[in-house]
Amino acid sequence: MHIETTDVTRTYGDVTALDGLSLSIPSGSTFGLLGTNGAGKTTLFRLLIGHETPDSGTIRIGDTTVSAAGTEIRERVGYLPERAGFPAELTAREVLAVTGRVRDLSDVDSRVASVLDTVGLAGDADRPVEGFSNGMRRRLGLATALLPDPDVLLLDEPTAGLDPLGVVAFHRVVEDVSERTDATVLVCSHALAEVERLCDRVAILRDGQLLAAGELAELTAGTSGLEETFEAVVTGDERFGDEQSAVAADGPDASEAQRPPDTAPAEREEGAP
Amino acid sequence: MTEPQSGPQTDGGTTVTATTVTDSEGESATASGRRTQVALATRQVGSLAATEVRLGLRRRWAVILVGLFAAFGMLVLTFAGSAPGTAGFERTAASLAMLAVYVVPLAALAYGYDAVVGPAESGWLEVLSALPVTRTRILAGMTLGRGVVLVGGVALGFLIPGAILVSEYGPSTVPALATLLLAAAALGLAFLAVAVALSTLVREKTHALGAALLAWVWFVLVHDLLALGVVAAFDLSAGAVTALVLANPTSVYRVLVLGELGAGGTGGFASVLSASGLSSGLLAVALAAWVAVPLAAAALLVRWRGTIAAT
Amino acid sequence: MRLGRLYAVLTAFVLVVAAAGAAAAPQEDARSETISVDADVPDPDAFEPPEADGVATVDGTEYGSVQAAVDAAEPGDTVRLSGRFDENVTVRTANLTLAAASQEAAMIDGGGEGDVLAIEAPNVTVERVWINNSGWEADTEDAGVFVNGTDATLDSVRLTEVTFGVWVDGVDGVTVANSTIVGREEVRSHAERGNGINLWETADVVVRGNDITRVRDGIYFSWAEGVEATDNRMWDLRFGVHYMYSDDNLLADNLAFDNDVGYALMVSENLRIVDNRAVGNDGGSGHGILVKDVEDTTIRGNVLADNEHGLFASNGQDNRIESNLMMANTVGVHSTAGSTDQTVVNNSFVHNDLQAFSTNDVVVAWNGTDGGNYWSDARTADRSGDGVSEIRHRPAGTVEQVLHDHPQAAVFAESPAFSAVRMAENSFPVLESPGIVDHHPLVESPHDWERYYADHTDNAHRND
Repeated sequence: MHIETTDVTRTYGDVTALDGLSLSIPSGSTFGLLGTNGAGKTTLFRLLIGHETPDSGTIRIGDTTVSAAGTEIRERVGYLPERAGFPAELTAREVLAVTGRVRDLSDVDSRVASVLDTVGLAGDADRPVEGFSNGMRRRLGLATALLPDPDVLLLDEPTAGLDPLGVVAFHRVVEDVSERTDATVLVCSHALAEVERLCDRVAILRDGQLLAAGELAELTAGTSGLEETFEAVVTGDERFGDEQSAVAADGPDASEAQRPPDTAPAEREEGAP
Repeated sequence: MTEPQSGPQTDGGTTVTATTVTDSEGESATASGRRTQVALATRQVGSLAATEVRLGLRRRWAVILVGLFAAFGMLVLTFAGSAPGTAGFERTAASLAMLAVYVVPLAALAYGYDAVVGPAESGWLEVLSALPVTRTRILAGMTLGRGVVLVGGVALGFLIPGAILVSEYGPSTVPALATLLLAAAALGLAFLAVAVALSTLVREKTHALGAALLAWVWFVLVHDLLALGVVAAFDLSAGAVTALVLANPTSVYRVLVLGELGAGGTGGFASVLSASGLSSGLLAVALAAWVAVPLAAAALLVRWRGTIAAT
Repeated sequence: MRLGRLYAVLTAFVLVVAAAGAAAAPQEDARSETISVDADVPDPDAFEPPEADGVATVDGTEYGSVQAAVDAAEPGDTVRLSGRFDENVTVRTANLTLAAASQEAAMIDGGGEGDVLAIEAPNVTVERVWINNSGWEADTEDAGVFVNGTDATLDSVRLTEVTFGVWVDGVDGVTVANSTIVGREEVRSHAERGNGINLWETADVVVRGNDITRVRDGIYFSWAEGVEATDNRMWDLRFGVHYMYSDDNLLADNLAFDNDVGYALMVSENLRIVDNRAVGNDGGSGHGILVKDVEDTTIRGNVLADNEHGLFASNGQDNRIESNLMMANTVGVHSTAGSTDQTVVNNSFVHNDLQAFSTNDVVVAWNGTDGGNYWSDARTADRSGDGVSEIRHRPAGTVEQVLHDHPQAAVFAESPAFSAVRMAENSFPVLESPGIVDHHPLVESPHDWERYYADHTDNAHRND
């Protein structure tokens, strides 16, 4: 299921978190979001699952305009928040069961068992979360996101704070999931290596604006890797000055970028042509 | 990959899609769709409440509350002695009722202060918010669960001293004790609602705890003291006195229970009640409002909380 | 999760039972436990007058009129009456006895004019005669029996439909005993009623064992001295007993209930008010005992319950109030500023809405050197084990002042705020506000007050 943001702007008071962001994420891709702190990655995620509405612009997941869909958009989206946590007294199985019931899923028990297996927590399923390591907690969070077999999986800084073993274990699960399903996976991370390893497409944000986007291979062409590309992009290296063209390759109509700034951005109503 | 977007751009820039609350329910629902929605809401709230009850048991809150109320009840019985006759019963029941003014709000605030800010700090609220469920329902489920645990604590805790009183003074005391128990449970719910509202308002658990303690001091001690001062300083109309009573759930509870027990002493008490228009019905409604209004405020606040959380 | 379900189910069960119990509450009078007196008083509406024509017998001679009989009698004779007489009688023969077989055997009906029986000779005795229907004028002192002869004795006399019952008109040595006096209920104004027993300028009088109702004041003292009034029962009156300008009297073992005031002591000295009971006196001014401009008087061992004020003391000097039980009154004791050198000790203040109230602008101590009074609401601590608390008690302070001035404040009664103010007043004498203090409150009540709740009977109100 592809994701598309069109000229999305979101401000909080004087702070502009997203500034006319247009981004297209193809169905089934694993898409990395890179950016400096405050680049607007988390804001984008919150908009994607309908926690907030854009001040202007449209966000579509598949055929659904997010802002009009209410909570229903989250039926198809699995979201692992950066600060995910669980009541220490519940077991992993109980955590998953209650999210499954709130999601109103059928066969909650078998789904829970299967997803526990997927994230490698089957052996710890009936232990209280209290005794879990950070890595296990992240994988439990991933399990809550995977439980409904989502079309879209949003991972916000999924491995921040994990030890290397935890990172590796987590990456295995994500790779496994993106291989076995056709879910669109969106990973936002500070860890460039993580993005390089997991993602086939990347976008780089700064101050709520898109600096560059495209296939990983394209973007890293001519550099030693994503690290160098990222540095060059955010510091304004002229080799990547024409980043809009890269966007245009798989992004929205290029004309949009030249739209006069005083034209109020329009949103498309659900069902409009 | 994407459709051309020129069409929408010529729409004149009207913002068509939901600009109100994000968590609005589908409004185009038909009657049956609405029934389905109600059933879904019930299931969601129910499973969240069940989880909260489970947590209440595992965190020993149920045991603590039952034990606390039972212990204080027994304490009253021990110290009240056993004067014979209806009068002795009224005195003991009134002591029990007055003790509840201190203990029940304190317990409810202590149990409820982290209802929202707790899961918000731990990240559990974020996990739940990622599910297709409105924040209002999350709040409702958590509050309902805590309400069950709290009311259970009051009901089961007062059961022991209550049973002793019934065995001592006979079955004719059941109605008074039942009224006392229900009123104490309602008082507990009112303070749970206040605690939940405070919990929704603040950013940190420690702040919530502080606010809860302040709320206790205000409602249990300061408000009545000030009200007393105001009554002493000015000749208030009956309406103003009524308002002063209704502005404090503990006052509402106290007047309701003393009126029902007939133990506020007293000719003077009863005549003041009737002069102020403080009927049992009005007081019961006021107590219910003290449950409903803070929860409604919390329901609004929790949406606002979601909005500012990203900053 | 089974535990959670069990918890929820148990809770629901208790709540349902409680709701059912509360809903099933019979909406009876919340104060079913009003204090009643154990007074087996006669029902004035159940008296059966004799029908037969009256016959008065003296020395074997029968007369159709009492007047004829007493006029014919010699001093020392006994005139025996039976049946009904319609006349007003004046006895001018000394040492005469008028007697009937029983209270229902003979009735003299005054026809609603003047005095029914006037005693104008010394040493006259009247026994078991029913005196009915005196004149209606309080101004002209229309009485059932007008006593103007010394050492008269009325014993077991029944007086009904009278303005004044017995008027003692400046003669000494009179005894009124075991008699029943019932005024006219249809006369609503107290001013138009007379008193049950009116003692005027008299001494050495005994008033014992009488039942008095439906008149103005039960026993009225005016310039009367050395009167012993004991074992009388008075109800549905303005004042049960009323002293004016009457010194050196004893009032003991009487019962006054459902009057405006039980015992009104005014402008008199050296009274002894002992072991009386006053219950439910709450009409009009509403006092168990009213003390006004009274000096050197002892009020001891009385039970004052369920009145508006148990004891209302105003402008008294050197009075002793001791060992009384003040229980379930709206105000236990109300003492005004003019009450000086008042000793209040060994009393029990039990469950009065306001235990005590004083308009004094200084702090008055209500205790002796060894002990004070028992206060049912006092926090006591008796470390020395002598039955006297070491914590002083403030029965009347800021809270009571507020309650008195602003009755509305009662809605905050028993609130933690009230308790806090009281505790502060008890604990920190620095914050002294005017009122009453008991430095030595008693730990245990010297009175067996529980029994007034437990063993009440309802026949006190038989005449309602």
